[in-house]
Amino acid sequence: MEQLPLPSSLTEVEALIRALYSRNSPETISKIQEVLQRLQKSPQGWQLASSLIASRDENVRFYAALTLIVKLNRDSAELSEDDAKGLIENIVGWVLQSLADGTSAFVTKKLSSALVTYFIHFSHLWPNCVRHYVHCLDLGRGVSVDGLDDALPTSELVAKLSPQQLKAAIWFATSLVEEVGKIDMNSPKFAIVHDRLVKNASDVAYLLARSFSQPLNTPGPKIQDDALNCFQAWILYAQRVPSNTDVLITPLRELVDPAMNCFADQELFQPTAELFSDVLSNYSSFLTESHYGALASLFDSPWAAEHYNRTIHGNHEEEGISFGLLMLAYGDAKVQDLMTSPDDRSQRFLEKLSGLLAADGYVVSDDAIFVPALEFWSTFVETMIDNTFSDEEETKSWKPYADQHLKAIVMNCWRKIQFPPAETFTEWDSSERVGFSDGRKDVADMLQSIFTLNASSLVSFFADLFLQSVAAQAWAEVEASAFCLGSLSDCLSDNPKYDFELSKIFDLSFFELLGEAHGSVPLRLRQTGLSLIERYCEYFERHAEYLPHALNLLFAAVGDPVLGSPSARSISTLCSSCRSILTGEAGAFLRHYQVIRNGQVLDSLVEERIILAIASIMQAIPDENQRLETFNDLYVLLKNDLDLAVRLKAHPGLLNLSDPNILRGVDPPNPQVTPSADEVSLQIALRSLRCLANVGRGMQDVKEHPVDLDHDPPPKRIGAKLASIQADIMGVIIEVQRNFSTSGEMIEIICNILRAGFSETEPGPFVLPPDVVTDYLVQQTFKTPRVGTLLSTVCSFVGSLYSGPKLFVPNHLARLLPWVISILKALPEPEDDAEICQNGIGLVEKVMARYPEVLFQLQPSQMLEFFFMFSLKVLNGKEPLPKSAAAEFWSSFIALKSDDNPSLQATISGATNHLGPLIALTLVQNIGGNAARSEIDRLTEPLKKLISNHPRAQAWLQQALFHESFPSIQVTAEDKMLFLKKIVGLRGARSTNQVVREFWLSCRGSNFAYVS
Amino acid sequence: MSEVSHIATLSRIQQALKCKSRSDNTMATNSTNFYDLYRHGSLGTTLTDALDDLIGAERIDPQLAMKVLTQFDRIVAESLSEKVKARLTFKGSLDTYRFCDEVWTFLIKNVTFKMDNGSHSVVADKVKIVSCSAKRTDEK
Repeated sequence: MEQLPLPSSLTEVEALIRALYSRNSPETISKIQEVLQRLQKSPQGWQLASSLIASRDENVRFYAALTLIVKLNRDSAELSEDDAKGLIENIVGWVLQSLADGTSAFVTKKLSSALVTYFIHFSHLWPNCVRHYVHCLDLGRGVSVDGLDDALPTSELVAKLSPQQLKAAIWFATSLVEEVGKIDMNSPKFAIVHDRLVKNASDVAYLLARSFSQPLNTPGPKIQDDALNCFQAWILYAQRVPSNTDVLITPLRELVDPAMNCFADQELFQPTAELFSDVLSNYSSFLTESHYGALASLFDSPWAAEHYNRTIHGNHEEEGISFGLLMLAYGDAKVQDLMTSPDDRSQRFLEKLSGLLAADGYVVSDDAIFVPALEFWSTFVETMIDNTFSDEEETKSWKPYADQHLKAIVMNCWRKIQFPPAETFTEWDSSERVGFSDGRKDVADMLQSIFTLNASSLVSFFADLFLQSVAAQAWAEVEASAFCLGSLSDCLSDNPKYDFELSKIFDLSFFELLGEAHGSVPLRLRQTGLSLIERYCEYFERHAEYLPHALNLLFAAVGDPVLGSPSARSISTLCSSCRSILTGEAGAFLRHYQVIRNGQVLDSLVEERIILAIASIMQAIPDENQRLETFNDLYVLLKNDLDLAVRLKAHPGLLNLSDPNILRGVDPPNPQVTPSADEVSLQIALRSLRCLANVGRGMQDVKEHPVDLDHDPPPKRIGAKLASIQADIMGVIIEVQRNFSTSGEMIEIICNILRAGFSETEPGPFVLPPDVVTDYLVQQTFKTPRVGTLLSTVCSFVGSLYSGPKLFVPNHLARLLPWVISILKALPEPEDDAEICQNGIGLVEKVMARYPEVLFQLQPSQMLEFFFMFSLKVLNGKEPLPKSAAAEFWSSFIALKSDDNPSLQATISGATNHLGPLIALTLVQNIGGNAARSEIDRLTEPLKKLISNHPRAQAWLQQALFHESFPSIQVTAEDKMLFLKKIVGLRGARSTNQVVREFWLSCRGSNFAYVS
Repeated sequence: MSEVSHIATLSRIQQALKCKSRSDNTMATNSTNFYDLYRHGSLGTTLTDALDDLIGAERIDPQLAMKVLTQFDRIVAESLSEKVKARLTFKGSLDTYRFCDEVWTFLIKNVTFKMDNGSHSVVADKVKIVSCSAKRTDEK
C-alpha cells in the first residue's frame, strides 16, 4: 500500500483528521490512520496534541485527546518531572475549557481518560488526583499540584461545584476507577498505583454524597444516574482489590443508604436496582446487617408490592424484570437466613419468590423471570439438602415451612412447563423454543434435587396429577406430569419401592391412550409417553406383564415420521434390557420387522435400531441351534439386500424405483432428480451393512464372565453351522467390498462389523476366527480407502488376540507387521496421512510391548530399519498425533528388556546403542525449542526413560545439545550443561518435566513466557 | 467405600466450574476474575500452541497473546455457563472425595454416563471431577 506523505502544516493535519471521521473507503482510512499514527509517535506528538486541542472542530479535539493518551502510554518516560507537572495543569485546563465552552461530552470524556492515563503513569506526581481536579474545577483553571495543601477541605470544594462541574468530576472518578482497575493488581510495579487510587476513595465519597443528596423526581437528566454508575464501579473495584482496607470500604459503605433513596425516583429505579442486584450477587459482604434490614423493609412496603405486581402481571419485554432480579439477588444473598427463619417477614418474602415462578405468560417468550427464579430455588433446595444432612435435629424448626415452599414451587413449575397450544408454539422463533425446552430441563434438574428430600411424596404427587389430568383429558397437564415423572427416572427406576406408584401410570389405559394414533391425544404427549417407557425400562424388566403392551405401542409408531426415531430408540433400549424375558418372542419380532419393512421404507436409523433390538434378544436365546437359526433368518434378509446391491451395480437396467427393495437405497425417499443405479446400489449396500453391524452389536454378550488371569483361555470349539455362517459373513463382506471398492464409508462399516466380535469371549457369528480376520486385513493395500481406519481396527484386533489363546498370536503378528510397515512405506512423506502414521506406529508399539521377538525377527531386516528411521522422522515432525504416537513408541523402546531371552536382549541392546544418539538428538531438538508447548510433557517421557535406563545417555544428550543442528541460540553452553546436569541428577523423576519445560522456554526466549 | 447413586448434571458441574460472568467491561477485562483451568484442556493447549507459532513468526507480540488467553478464560467460562445446554447424568461408586482450598475433588469408579438425548451410554472405570466454586473467594 502506498503511504501518504506526512502533512506539512497544522491545517493539513486537521484536514486529515476530518477525513478520518468522514465517509471514506477502508483503504483511504487505513492510509490516513497510518500517517496520523506516525505523527502521534513522533517526538512532535506532544506539540501536535497541544495545538490540535485549540481547534474548533470537536473531532480534531477528540483526536488531540487521543494523541495525548497515545503519547502518555508510549513516551511518558521521556518527560521530565517539571514537564509532567506542567502537562497535568494543561490537561485539566483543557477539560475545564471544554466544560466552559459547551463542547460535546465525548470530547470531555476523552480528555478525562487522558487524565486517568496521566494518573497511571504519574501517580507519584498526582496522588490526590480527585481533590486536585475538584480544586481546579472550583477555580475554573488548571493549577499546580504543589499548591493543593492550601486549598479548602475537599468537602467544601465539592459543595461549591456547579451541577455541570459535579458531573465532570463524577465522570473522571468513574473513568479513573474503571481504567486503573484494569491494571494487574498483583504486579508489584502497579501496586503503588492501586494504593494511591484507594487513598482517593474518601474524596470520591464526597462527590457521590453530594450527588445523591440532590433533589429526586425532578425532570431531565439526573446527576444521580452518573453517581450510581460511579458508585457501582468503585464497589466492584473494592471487591477485587487485594487489600480492600477500611480506607476504601468505610466511605463507600456510608453511601449505601443515600443510594437506596434513589429507588424513590421512577427514572432512577432501573440503575439503582441494577446496582443493588449487582452488589448482592457478587459482593454480598459489602452490605451490613443494617443495609439488609433496610432492604427487607423496602421489600415489605406498598411500593415494593406495586413493583412485584408489575413483575408478575406486566409485560417483561417492555417493563423489564429489574425488581424481580433484585428480589432474587437479595434472596440469594440471604438464602440461609430466609430458609431457617420462620418469622413472618422471611416467609412472606419466600412466598413472593415462589410467586415469581408463576408470572403471567409462557416461559421465555413472555415470562423472563421464570428461569432466574428457578435458579434461585435450585440454590434454595441445594442449601436445604446441605443443612438437612449436616444437622437433622436442627432442621425440625424450619423444615415444615421450607417444605411448604417446595410444594408451591413444584406446583408452579409443573404449570409453567406445560406446552402451549400447537398454534402458539409454531409462532415462536427458534430461540424461544430452545429457551422453553431448556427451562423444562432446568425444572427436571431441580426435581431431581427435591427428590433427595421428599422422594415418595414427589412421585405420588406427579402420579396423581397424571391420573387426574388424564381423567380431565387435559393433555398439556398429562404431558407435563409425564415429563416430571420421566425426569425422576434416574432416581427411582431401579428401586422397586416406587413400583406401586408407577403401576398407577403404566396400566392398560396408558398404552391405549398413547396408541390413539388419530385421536385427540397430541403428538407431543405421545412423544413424552414413549420416552417415559424407555426411561423406565427397569420397571418393565420387573413387570414383564406390561412389556408386550409397551413394545406393541412402540412398534406401532416406528413408521411415524416424528415418532419413528424415538420409538425405535425405546425399542432397542427396552429389548436390550429385557432380552432374557423376550427370547421366546424373537421369531415374532422378526416377523413383525418383516411386515413393517414390506409395508414401507423405514428411515435407515430406525431400521438399524429395530435390528439392534432383535439381535439383542437373539443373543439371549440359550439354545445355540435355535439362536443360530433365528440369526440366520435375519441374516438372510440382509444378505438378500446386499445381493441386490451387487446385482444392481452390475446391471443398472434393474433400477426400478417402484420396487420397495430398491427404494431402500433412495435417500431422500422422493428425490427431485432420479438417482443413478450406481448411487442407489451403493446406498442399499451401505444400509444393509450398517444393519449387519448393528446385528453384530446386538449379539454382543452383556454378561460379565470370569477371567482367569493365571491361565491361557482354552480354544473355543465352534460347530459346523456357526463356522458356515462365519464363512458366509466374511464372503459377503469381501464380495461387497470388491464391488464397491472406492467407498470409504463401506470400509468404516466393515471395520465396525469386525470390531463387534473382538471383545467377545464366547463364540458367535461375528466372533470370526483370527486367521480369517488376518487374511482379510493383509489383503488390503495402501490404495484401499480409509486405510487409517483399517489400521486402527488392526490395533483393536491385536488387543483381542492378546486376551485369547497365546499359542498362535506370534504367527498373526508376524503376518500383520510387514503389512503395516508396507503401508507406512507407501506414504510419500510420513506426515502425508496422520491417521495412517499414528495408527501404524501405535500398532508396532503394541506388538513390541508384548512380543518384542516378533518385531526384532522381522524379515527382511531393512523393514525394521525403515520403521525406526520413519518414527524418528515423525518424532521430529510437526503433526501432533503421529508425534505423540512416536514419543510413546520410543518411550517403550528405550525401556524394553528381555531378561529371559539373552539373544533377544543382545539384539535390543545393539539396536539401542545404535539408535541412542539419534533418539537423543531428536529429543533435544524438540526440547531445544522445536516442539510445541503442548508436546513437551509427552516428549519428556522418552527422555526420562533414556536417562534412567542407559548409562551412555548423558554422553548422547551432551553430544546432541552441542550439535550444530541445535535449534536455539538463546541458551549458552553453561545453560546447556546446567540443564544436562539437572536432568541426569533427577534420574527420570517426575520433576524432570518442569526442568525440561523451563529449558524449552529458555531456548524459545522470553517472548514465550506469557503463560503460566 | 460407600455405594452411592449419585446423580448430577453436566450443567451443574459447569455451573460450578464457571466463574460468575458479568457484562461489565471492567470485570471482563480483568484476568483475575476467571479461572485459567480451561487452558489445560485440549482447546486451551491448542490455542497456546497457535499463539506460540504467531509469536515465533513475529505476527503478534506476547502481550497480545496474554490478552487472547485472558479472553479465552472469560469466553470459555461464559459459554459453558450460558450456551452449553447439553447435559448428562452419571452413576457410579464414590471412591474418594475432598474439599480443599475451595476446590471439590471427587474420584468415582465404574461410572456410566447417560447422555441427554438417550442415544447411548458411556462407561469409564474411573472419573475424576474437579469443581471450583462458581464465585471465587475474592468475589464472595
